[in-house]
Amino acid sequence: MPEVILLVALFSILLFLPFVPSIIELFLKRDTEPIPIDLERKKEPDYFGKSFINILATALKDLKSQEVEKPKPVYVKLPVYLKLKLNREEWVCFLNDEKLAESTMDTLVVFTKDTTFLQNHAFKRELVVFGNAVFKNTCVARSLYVKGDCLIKAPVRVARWVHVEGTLITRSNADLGVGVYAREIRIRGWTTFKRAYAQKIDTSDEPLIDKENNTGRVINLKGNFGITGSITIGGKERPVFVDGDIFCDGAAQIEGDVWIKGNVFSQDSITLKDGVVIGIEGKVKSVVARGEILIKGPFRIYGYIHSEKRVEASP
Amino acid sequence: MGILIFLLKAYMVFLMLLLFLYIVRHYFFTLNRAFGKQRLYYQDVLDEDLPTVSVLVPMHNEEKVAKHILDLLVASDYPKEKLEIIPINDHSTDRTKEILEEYAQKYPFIRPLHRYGDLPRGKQNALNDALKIAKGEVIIVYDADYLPPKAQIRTLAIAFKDPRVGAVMGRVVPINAGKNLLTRLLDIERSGGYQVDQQARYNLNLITQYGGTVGGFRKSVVMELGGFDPRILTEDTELTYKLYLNGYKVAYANIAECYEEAPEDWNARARQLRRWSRGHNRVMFKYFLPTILSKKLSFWQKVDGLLLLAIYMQPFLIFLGLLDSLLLFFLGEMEIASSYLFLLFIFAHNSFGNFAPFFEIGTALVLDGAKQKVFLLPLMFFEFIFNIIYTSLGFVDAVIDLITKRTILWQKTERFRNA
Repeated sequence: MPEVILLVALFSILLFLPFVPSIIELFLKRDTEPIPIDLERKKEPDYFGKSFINILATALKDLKSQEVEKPKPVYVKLPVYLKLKLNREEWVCFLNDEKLAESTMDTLVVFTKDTTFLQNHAFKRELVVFGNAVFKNTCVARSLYVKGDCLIKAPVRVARWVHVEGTLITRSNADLGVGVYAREIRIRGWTTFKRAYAQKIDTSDEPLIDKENNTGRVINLKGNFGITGSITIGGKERPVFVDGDIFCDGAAQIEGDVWIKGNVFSQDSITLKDGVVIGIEGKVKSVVARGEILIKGPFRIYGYIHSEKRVEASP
Repeated sequence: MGILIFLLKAYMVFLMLLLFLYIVRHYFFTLNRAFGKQRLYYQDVLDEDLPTVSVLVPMHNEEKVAKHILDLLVASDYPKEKLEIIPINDHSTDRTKEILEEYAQKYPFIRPLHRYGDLPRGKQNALNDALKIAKGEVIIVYDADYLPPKAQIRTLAIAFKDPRVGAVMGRVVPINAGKNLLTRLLDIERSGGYQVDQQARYNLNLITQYGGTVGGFRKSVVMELGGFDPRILTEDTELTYKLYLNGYKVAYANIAECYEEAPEDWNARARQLRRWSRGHNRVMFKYFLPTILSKKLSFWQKVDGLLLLAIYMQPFLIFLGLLDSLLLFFLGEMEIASSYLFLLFIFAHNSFGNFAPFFEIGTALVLDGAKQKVFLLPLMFFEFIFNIIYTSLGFVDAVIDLITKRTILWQKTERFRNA
């Protein structure tokens, strides 16, 4: 008899055992929340730069007493350090000219005027220029905000985002990180990024097909195109106008005098070469790819480029 | 007697093979979602030329929730000149009509449709009537208890730039997840269904399901295909098959997450499940053969399409299997096949097969960053038993509907939110 009771007890315990963690969770209620959804969230290409500068502006507005750190002898001119409450409380270095002697900066750095970077610098936090910025020497930064125009004449590497209120020109190699936002982006040197938004992004000064007088024989395609495989559009012999969008599951290779007035979307990679124009001036259109986007030679887009991997532009 | 025993055994073998297919599907989807290439949705396409959109919100006695959804739709960032909102008051007897009129007076883009009198009740009928007055190229549908985020209409509508897309589906998240055991289980079940199942289908170019809410469709295509069948309660599943059989696809937007209110009591859940099963099985009867014979579907789309069609019949088949095994046991004919290989199959099934759905839901919870919820998984065993009962009843309802051609009455899911 005791054996039977023992067996029944053992059986019950074993039967009950798999449910023990569930019952503990049921009563402890360690995670009863639904997954968070931000009801206010919307897609904004300038989100990072705008949010950052808003936080900085708010912190400066709320600043009541300035805390100035002791000057360090390495600086040619003394920078002002303020302790600001950004996402957390931290020191921010303010300078009013470009004469920053230190090559590595651990704090967020704000230049209050036009700045030319003549020396090699590594900014481990955000770099802010409330004026125009010219990079004449190698520079590394976590993120870059420029109130005016920004000219890159030496190799620059940004890890996260670049936000330029004016025109961004790259004349040297530039790795612009994850997101780039500017009023206009002129790519004149080898440049990489993941996303870029501007009214106009181009790689050449020469007039492309959307600005030319096309009186000759032109291939006109109207409508939106959905392609299961890959697509190649060549406009080397005759210009091609596509009055619509292109959506394809495979790779898209577009080269020559091709003007796509809509969007280009690919689940693979996109290559845009030698004279391709995307979009219409004054309107926002997009080039989006899950794979790489490769831009070679003259190219122009009015709007947005997005790659899940990398955009590489070589003018 | 010999023939009966043969048939009983044959059914067991058929059932095992069918369940094996579902197990393979579960694992395949889960592994794809966890490690495979993820297909990109269209949310990153920024385009100023957006389509005109009509948002339809079917409502029957929704005074508890009507204001919430209308306030959120009014706050949407979609250009108002391209947007109209049509709340469909379907025979409401509470304050729904007054609430809709209040909003219509305040916002010119809200144009309520009131359905009373002889007009037949039901979501599918309400949608058919609303489609006649909707002006949008794209129709977005929300159930009345949903809470759409500001940018969601844009996220959903942008998919229709791709001419192959006939419908789009977002992700449903229960807002009352922590209310009680039922809502907690429904919450994790939804995670598995959307985060893994739907996304994997979209990745693999299979049959992504349009779910009838937090989603939309191309108006011209649906009108061309004859609108919604008034005899079918699950107009969403029907539309999914109609679209795929006509060469369109359904896009899945995992990023388009929207809160809903999950049933908080088991009776309400039972009625909801039974209605879904009844409607889904009617779709199965109607589209099983066309899916097999379709020239627009690939082989794997057909396989997935058929498995999806039979999903609400599966519990009934398992129930029959249980009866079958009991019969075989009492007839002393339990030995169906005997070999070491078969024994290995049984062991493998017991070790891995039974855990396939749990593996899928567990993976979804990890992807969602809700690891504590994984501990609730064993309790889903009881929900599965509950599901078997009510989906089987829904299957029986569908068979009776098919035979008797009786009139189908829509049963609304009860709301639990405080107004």
